[in-house]
Amino acid sequence: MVKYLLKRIGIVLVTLWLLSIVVFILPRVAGDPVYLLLPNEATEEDREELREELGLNKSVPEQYLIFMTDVVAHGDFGESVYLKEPVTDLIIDRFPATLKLASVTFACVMPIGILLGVLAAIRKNRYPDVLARSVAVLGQSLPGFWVGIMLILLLSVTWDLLPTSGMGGADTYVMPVITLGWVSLAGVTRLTRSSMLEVMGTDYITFLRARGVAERSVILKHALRNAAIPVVTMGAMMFGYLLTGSIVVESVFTWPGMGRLAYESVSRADFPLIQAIVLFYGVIFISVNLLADTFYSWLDPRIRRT
Amino acid sequence: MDELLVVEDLKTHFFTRRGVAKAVDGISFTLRHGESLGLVGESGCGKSMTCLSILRLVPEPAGKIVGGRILLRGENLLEKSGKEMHKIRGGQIAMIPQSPMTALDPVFSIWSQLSETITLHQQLKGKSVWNRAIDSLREVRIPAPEDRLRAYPHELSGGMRQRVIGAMALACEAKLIIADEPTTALDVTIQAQYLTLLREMRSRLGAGLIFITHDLGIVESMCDKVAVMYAGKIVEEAPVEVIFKSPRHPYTQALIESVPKLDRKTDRLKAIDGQPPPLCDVPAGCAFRPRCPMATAQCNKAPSHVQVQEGHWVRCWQCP
Repeated sequence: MVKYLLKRIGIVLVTLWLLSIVVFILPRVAGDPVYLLLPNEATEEDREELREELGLNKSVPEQYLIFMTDVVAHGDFGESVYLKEPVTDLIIDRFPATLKLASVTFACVMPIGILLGVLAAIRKNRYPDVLARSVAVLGQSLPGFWVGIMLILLLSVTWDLLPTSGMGGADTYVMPVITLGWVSLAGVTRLTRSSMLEVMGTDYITFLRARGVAERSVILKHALRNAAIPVVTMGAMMFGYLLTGSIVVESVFTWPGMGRLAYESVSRADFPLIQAIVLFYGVIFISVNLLADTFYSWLDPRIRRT
Repeated sequence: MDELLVVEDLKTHFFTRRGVAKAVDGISFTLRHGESLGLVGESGCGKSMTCLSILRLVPEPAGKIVGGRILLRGENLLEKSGKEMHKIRGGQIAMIPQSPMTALDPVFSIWSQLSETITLHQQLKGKSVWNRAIDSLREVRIPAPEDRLRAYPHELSGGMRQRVIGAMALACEAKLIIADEPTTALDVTIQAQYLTLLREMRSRLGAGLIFITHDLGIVESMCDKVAVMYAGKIVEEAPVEVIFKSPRHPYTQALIESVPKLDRKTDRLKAIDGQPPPLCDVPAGCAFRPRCPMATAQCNKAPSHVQVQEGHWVRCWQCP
């Protein structure tokens, strides 16, 4: 068991290290913050001066070495070129908002999605199925920004039921969660439905009925547990996407989260911030992956390792 | 009363876009306590569907039992409520499915599934459930039953899984065992062991057995009487010695002929020309007529039962 964990941790570290190389090189190839920081009239001298100040005149491998030493030895990811603040502070400041939004969305989408999926499967081609599939299709077809804006128009402006933007009490969560979650709901519903249908056609389900097990037990205890395996795996990955993909929702609802920070950092070629955010996203996905694996092996005894 | 199971003119039809498939088309037979009936026939002749019909597990909405009576110890199963059927399935009637590899829920332990079945049908609680489980596993000769109970299905071999399924029938004191080709998926040496086990189970429970198979060799060793099915109907029924010594129906004769014999040297295997008809398109009259070497114009009309002797009857015009 210990050996397995060590191996896992080793793989994680190597992955993060490789990620750090990629995230270091790519922005430097694609952009130059110096051009964005100084006005257009600035001379080449001014630019060189700024480059020296930021340490961008050194070779890329040299910059990388400095960066890695800072990170490993001092936990220092540098300062945002644009905002002049330590990058770690910025992330810590903005991440909780995204985390809250993603968590609430996840907590709503999973139960509703699984419920709809199960209903759709056991009442295949009847009303619950049609309803569930319609909701899913809409979720996958309607663009997020449109849904968000329409919700604001309807619920905030016309009917004055909810606040238009910002993060605050429970009522500020309603529209952002719907906007962010609808796509994910579609995925969960469809996967649950098809997984349930597949499971319900198996020999062991028929044999359970042949043993006189009550239909309710057959569906909710046996079928659901088997069908949940791919859904749970997908759910864990989905949480990672919710955490890292909230840029549109955050923009529409002026949600003070990390999505906007990430977008702005890329458009401003703010290297330290980009690096830190992407590495952070990498850690999120790796953790989420590990979580999914753990869930998976808990649910399916065939996968467990002794 | 002597009869355990009386099936009268059972009809199960499937309503599809291509027409009505008469999977079970007027099946009748009787089974006494402790008796075993072999149900023989090619794939698709309706053997499995007959048994699913007895258990009332016909896949709906496409399939439906449209006629007949099924009397288990004098009570018509077709008139029972859903709840009553739940009690009967797994309790009085135990099914042994064809493929042990896929018959058990992979995410629950053997103990979980065995105890679930036991508590459903036997009035037992707590430790006595455990004891009953251990006992039934011992009876099916599973070594180290305590360890096996903690295991998951994928940790057991096919033969072991089939034994666990047998243990379920034993633990719930079944009166009728319906075995749907239980040894088809096992290799030959395990097959022999399992059949012995099945015989022991039968005598222990005093249960009746319906044994579905397409293997005539097994029929000879396991069954008291045999019913041969073709295209949803029983075409011949006789005690086992009789059916091998003097089969009357051309189909039965052809089936027996087609089994290769070890003591005879043959270059070609004897097969039956043609294919069984698709169940939604059974020819009028005798369904076997297109493939029958003895068919005449008379066979255009559906043949009725002809009694050959006590306990032996055929559905054929050509048999005196």
